Amino acid sequence: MKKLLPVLVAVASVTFFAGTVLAQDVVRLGCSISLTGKLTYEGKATRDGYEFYKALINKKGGLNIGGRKYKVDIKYYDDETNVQTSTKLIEKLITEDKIDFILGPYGSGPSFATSAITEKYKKVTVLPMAASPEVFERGFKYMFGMIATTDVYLKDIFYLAAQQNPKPKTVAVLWKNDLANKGLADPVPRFCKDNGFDLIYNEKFSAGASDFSAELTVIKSKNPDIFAFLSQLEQFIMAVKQIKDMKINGKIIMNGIAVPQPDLVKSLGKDAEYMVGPTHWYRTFKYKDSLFGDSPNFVREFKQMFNYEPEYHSVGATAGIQALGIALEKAGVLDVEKVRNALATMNVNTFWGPIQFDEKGKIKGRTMPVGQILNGQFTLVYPPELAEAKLVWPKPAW
Amino acid sequence: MMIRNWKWIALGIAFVYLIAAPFFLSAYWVRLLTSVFMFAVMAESWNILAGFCGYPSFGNVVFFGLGAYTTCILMVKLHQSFLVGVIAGAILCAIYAIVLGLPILRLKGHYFAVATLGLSEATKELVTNLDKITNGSEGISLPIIPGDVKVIYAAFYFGMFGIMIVTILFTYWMSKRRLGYAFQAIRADEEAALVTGINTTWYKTIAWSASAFFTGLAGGVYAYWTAFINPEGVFNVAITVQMLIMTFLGGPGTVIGPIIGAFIFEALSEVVWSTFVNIHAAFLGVLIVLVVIFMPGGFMKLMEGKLSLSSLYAHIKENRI
Amino acid sequence: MVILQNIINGLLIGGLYASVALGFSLVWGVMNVINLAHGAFIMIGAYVTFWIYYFFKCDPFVTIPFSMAFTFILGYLIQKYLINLVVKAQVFMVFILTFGIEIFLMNISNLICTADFRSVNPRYAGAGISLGGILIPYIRLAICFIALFLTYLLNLFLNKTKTGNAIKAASLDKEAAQLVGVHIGKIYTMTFALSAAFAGGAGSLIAMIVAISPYMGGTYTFKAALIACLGGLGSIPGVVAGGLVVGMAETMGSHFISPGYKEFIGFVLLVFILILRPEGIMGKKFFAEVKH
Repeated sequence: MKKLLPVLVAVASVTFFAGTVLAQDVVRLGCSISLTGKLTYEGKATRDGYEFYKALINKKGGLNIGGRKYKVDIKYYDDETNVQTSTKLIEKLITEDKIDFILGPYGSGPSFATSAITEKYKKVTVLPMAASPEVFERGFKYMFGMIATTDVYLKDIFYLAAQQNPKPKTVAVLWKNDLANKGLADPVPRFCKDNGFDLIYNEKFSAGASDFSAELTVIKSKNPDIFAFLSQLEQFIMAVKQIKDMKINGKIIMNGIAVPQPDLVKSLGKDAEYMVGPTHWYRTFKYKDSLFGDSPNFVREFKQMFNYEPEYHSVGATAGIQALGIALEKAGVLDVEKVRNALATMNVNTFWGPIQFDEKGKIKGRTMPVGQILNGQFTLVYPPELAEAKLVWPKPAW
Repeated sequence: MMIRNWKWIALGIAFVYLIAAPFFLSAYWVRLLTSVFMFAVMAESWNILAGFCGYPSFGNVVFFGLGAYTTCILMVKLHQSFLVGVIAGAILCAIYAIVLGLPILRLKGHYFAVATLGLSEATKELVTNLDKITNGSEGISLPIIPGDVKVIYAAFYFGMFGIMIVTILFTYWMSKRRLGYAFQAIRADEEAALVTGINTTWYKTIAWSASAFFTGLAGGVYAYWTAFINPEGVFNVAITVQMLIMTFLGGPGTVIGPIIGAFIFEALSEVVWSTFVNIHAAFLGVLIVLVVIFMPGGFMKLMEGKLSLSSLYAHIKENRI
Repeated sequence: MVILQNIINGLLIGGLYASVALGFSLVWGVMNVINLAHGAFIMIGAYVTFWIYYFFKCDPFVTIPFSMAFTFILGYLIQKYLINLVVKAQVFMVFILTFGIEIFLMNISNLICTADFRSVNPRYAGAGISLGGILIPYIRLAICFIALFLTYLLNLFLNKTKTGNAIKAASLDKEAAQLVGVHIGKIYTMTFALSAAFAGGAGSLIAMIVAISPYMGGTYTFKAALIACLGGLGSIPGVVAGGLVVGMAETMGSHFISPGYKEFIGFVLLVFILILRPEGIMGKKFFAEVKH
């Protein structure tokens, strides 16, 4: 610690000289993300989303800010899926690395903590994967989300179920007790009331659980028409196996987060068939912009670069960094306040759809199309104008 | 003689440096040091029960979490001041330790350790489930403190520093009095201690509740400092493990050891992070393994002897099979 | 009816839990080592099963000997060249060492296998016996039996072979064992290797019912600690008892109280039993005391 000051001086002088040597203008973005730990998979998907944008925009020469071309550079730190670590690293990005624009992590928990720091320092941050409505209820001015919040995730699925003939009667929901899934589960009683369903089972399980046989046994005895198992991908994979073991034949089985993810089908094969879930984005979206074209084009180029098909984690991240890029260009200068205002007043159309934020930083007007796994592919079944197929109802027995 | 003076001088310099640090170090380093102090507090308080009494608790983080939650709940739901929240939290922790100490402190060694671990996990679950009071898995957000960031950070820095000093002084004071001797007697041979008239239950409970009190203080300050807590974050076993590593790297059973260990561990982590973004975690694992193999007695032990390759090798030889 | 199904569920998962705790209890009871890397061995066993299943499309149960052999060798090397170097030091130094090893193993797996979730899905997944409304999935039943069989094997080894007896002797009194000619270093290496092997075996079994990822191990280490303590450290029958008790407690707790209180119930049970019997259900006094 005593040697700190000279070390800092040394580092400062090196970066100063390095800065003057590099003639290229660079706009530096920072990101603290889960590259190890429980959410590695999701963290990596988010990072790939950011990297995709960076690659494409830099290929075009960079962002056009105030008449000069700026290449985009992103500094990543691994928060090890630890919220404490995440706050420390955001602090580091802002105070040590002097980065003014932060890209958000995966997940509502880290987004919560991250935005508290960025707000304190008044740095702009884009939170592509912050789905929890509470994130936006703190009166923060410097953060912007890119997706609909969990309180509406399941709404359209319940609505869709209510349209089926014969109308289902009973609903069972088993949810993981963490921030995101609690947000998904809280409005379920209201959805049931709105659609005339009977909520016959509503329980939460500990975040670390991997065996649900006890709960599933009880659920099976109640024979629900609609069954919602709310968790992230890892536990949903386990749950589906156990649901099959128990032969729970719900007419519709849904999950709020994992269904659009390709690994679900990869891990479960045929067993994933007919699962229903909402998505933030779909590969057939026809929204266009000048950088990515439309969504089918996005998918093609992403697959070429990363060798796997993107799902909404990556795509949402790309949409977020793109919004930030557009704001930077609109502001015309690397000034935090101006960029913040550019985002707050933004009204553009990108491949992600229309981008406009309300005064809380939430993106306006996003809905959650509903999809079902059909023939090993996540396929849109609602709303009708986007649907590729009809919902298979009831789900065939195991 | 000369060696002892040298250590005191180094300590004095370090002390002065730390007092002056917030005025010239960047906010990031101030935050880092505050975090080190926090772990030092936890390590010191853990030491009261584990190092002195011989009862290694694996679940002390439960007090960290309880302190954090009490502070937040009192501040957010009952609109109390921060000071009230923190002190109340620490007192609650001490009471929790007393009440649960009655059954749990009867267990010995490994069983005690696992029971405390279970206590920590069970409390986490309880807190997560009582969401009417604690907001459950959503966590509690504290309002952001308005004002200059540097000033706020310096305030927390000195706050945590102060708690650390108080904990050290308490440990030192206690070690020189009957309390400390009773603790050590319990550790050496609990049955013999009983026979000599020491009320072991009473002393063990005091040790654990003192341990709980200081850890609770750290938790309360942490909550206000970070402005957001959730069950997974503050009842995290990883905090216990990290704290244990720091204690043992520094030299358990000593007063200064855990603090040195905290510094070493943070410094190591920092270097590894900044240098190896992609493989830092694996590299940290390797580093920990190497450090343990070459410093099996902890840093303080290393300082006691000569610093040479042969003494290093001798250390290994005496500890291996 | 539901309660009967849940009792069966509890027993089935209890058998699996016993195998998870097996090696952990052994290492703790014999060498006084709290092996934080235990979960990592389980994870490695799971991956071995997955990769063999993935490349050769064979029945996952067939892969168990391979995963056990692999983790045996890994455990052997780790003990001989790393842990044996610090075994005589403070208990917690070894603890920290295993922690470092765990971080290393988990993150190397992340680098090699990536964090994509994997799953083993044989053709007969989901099929099972149906006895008057009670469903017993084949896989769960097989897992339970194999887990108990592994436990039986270990117990046999400890009681009937010379090495096994040497291990037991070392756990009771290290010095006395040395006096009768037991080479402690070799015995410790063997113990740890065995522990790793059985962890790997448990991992293979777990691979069939959960999603495999590099960071899956941590929860199992904690469970292993709970079960080992409950059953009595160092006692193999105790591990079975502990596993069944925890399995039943979780299932019954979820059934009668709430699914959200699983850990809580496990803990209350642990404290309750330990107060009544401080050595665990089947532990012996003077075993596994922490010496300073």
